[in-house]
Amino acid sequence: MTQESRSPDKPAAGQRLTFDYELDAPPEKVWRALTVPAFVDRWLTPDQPERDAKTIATEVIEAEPPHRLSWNWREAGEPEGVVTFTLTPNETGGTSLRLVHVRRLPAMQPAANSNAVTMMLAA
Amino acid sequence: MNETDVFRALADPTRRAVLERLATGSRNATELREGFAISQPAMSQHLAVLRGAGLIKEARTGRSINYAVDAAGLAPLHDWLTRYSAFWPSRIEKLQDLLREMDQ
Repeated sequence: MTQESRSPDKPAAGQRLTFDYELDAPPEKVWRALTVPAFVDRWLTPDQPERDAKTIATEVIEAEPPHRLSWNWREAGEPEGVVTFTLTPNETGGTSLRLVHVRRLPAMQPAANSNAVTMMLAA
Repeated sequence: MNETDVFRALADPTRRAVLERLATGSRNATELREGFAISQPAMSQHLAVLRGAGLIKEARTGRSINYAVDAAGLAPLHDWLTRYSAFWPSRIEKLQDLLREMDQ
């Protein structure tokens, strides 16, 4: 694992979305909600009760309980990506949750960095 | 337009800079080259790649060619951002509901 791919601020390549949330629950509890399949189904795919009917498929590629979780992200009809959750205890006993979703680019040199593109699109 | 072409075109920092410059308004080839330490042929090549990916369009006015951003070419990038910009906040809302229902 390289330093670059570990840093949420420096994706190797691709479009990236970052979200920050303050959650009332402690990291250990949030971690369970993110990792126990029955819990994940309830918040991630609540409108898809049948497991077979899922259009979203996640695969854990990195897990460092209860701090950091990365999923390979596949959704029918959408480009593949990597979703990373970073959990940090906050001052009120809850959790600061950072969610970073990086779109994986098709066949591209790893040196590419399209941050500029994201910024331009956001402008 | 082929999405792979779009990403290939945007993989190059010079082409990204050219596109950003055009995002502020159309330019002819001479204006576009200002501030870039690259030759005219090199710029022409970058412009050809951008045009091939559908990211820019050109319009001939008299003897000069004006280049402008082709918004349609950026649609594949916008689609991804639009989808997940809405998707994740709604899911995190459901995660918060779940956390309230879970036992400690």
